[in-house]
Amino acid sequence: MLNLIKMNLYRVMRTKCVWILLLITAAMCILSVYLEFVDQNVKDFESSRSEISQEEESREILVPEVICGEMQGNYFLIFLSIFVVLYFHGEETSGFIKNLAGRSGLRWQMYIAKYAAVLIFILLGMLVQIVFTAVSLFVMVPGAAAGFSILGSACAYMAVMLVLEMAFAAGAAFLVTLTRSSVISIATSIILAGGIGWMITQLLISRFAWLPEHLEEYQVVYHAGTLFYNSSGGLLAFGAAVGAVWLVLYSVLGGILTEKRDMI
Amino acid sequence: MDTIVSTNCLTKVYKKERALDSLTLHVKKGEIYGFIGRNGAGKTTCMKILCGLAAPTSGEYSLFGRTGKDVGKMQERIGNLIEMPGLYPNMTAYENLMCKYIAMGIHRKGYIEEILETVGLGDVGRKKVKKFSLGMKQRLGIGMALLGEPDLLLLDEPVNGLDPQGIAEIRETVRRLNREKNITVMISSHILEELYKVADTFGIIHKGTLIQELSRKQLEEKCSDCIKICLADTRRACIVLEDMGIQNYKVAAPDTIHVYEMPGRSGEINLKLSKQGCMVESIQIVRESLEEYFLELTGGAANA
Repeated sequence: MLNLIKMNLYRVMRTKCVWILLLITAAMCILSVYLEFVDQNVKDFESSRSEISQEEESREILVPEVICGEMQGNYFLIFLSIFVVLYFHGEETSGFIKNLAGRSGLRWQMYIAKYAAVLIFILLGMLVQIVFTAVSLFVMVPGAAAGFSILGSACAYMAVMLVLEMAFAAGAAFLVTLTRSSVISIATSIILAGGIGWMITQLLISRFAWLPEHLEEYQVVYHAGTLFYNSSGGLLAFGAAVGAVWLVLYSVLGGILTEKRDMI
Repeated sequence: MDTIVSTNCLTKVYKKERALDSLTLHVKKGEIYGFIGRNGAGKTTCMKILCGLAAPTSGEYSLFGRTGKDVGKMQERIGNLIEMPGLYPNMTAYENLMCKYIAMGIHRKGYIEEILETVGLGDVGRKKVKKFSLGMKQRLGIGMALLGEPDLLLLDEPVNGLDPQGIAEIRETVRRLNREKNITVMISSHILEELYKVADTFGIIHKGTLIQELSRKQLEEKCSDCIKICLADTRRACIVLEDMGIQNYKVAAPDTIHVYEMPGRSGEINLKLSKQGCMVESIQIVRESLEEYFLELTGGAANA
């Protein structure tokens, strides 16, 4: 298993789409800061539409808070789903899997070892979001403060987001392993990242009274979109637990499927 | 000689299609086994099962003397090139080999360079695989199969799409590996002429079943000189031939008989047939080509 993890770490650093997606993420961070804090037209538009009070408008801009806000926006989930689907499916479409998958007992390990690459991508993505958001704020927004007071809670929030993003990635990985189709998997993952899961849940709840009222709380995307650095410890812990359960479930299902099915 | 690979009534069914149907074959240690069959005969399916890439529906197979659950461990001793080479197109040859090198936990300095030299890709540098020619990709695929020093190589149609020079290079590489490193090779193709130049034993597969397994010597005997007699009444001619003591003949067509013995006595045969009222249209010495032999075994040129 360790050798397979090393192989995936070697491979992920040589995967073009990683760097392209991270570049786009960096660009999104810069653009996001610019539009939210700098572009006067956007600011005026938002002020006229929202009921933000004078007090809130003149509130100090804390860098960790803005970074957490970046992470809360689910656009990174879209990039993550693209990466995961292409990475997991790339081994099969290129045929490279034939070189290794013949060994008995190795296939489920090959599947799980790919999570190392996913973890690297998520960590790099977070690093990009942190660095580029922080630098953009310091460069473009004179009043931006380092916000050391909320650093601890911001880190806790990021740790929970890491688990949730890993769980989302595991779902996308399982989907592409099941369907063997990049198009279906990417499209479905993007739609789910966009919140369709919540709509479907509401529809089901309205139709079937026996379903729990807050079914959406058991979804990864729900927590990814609603938790924030200042959410209570209980909510953060619950979100992390939901993520962990789905991560394990998708991993087990994906491993079993890989083990039992003909490879090619 | 030890048997490295053997299958016993190996069957594989995909939905309603029977890709393999009670296939039984044997590959001996140190030999080059030529696995020949038409497109769709089941060659690739058999090799996928032996490599562990697919599971059989029924039947069993043994590798290096092990069967059942133990066979999985023996699959580590196999290098394979199934269909097209499995390579990451945006990586170089070195990087592709390095991926497998790391995955196998090999720690040997200069090993990848050695493999690249063995397959004639020592000077490709940082060229990405997507820019390789087909021959280069096939050679790199063989290099991937060689990584880890396998005892058994399974090569599925390795010369597909190659030019004559490429085919000759692959052939020489296979012979060299077999000779110098004593690697057992199982190589499949639908071109008997090509396999004939390199294999020691031939397994002919048709519609998922092994219809014949024979050595090179046996194949040569089957494709030796014969007397081809064209005449209208083959039935009467057969009686005449048997009266002459000729047993080794076959009715190749309603108006053709092939006689595999006494090739130097065609005149005598012609005279006897004429005396018995068999009007011979033509009589000549021919060599049955490998292609004709193969087509005859597998049901003729149905799609010609």
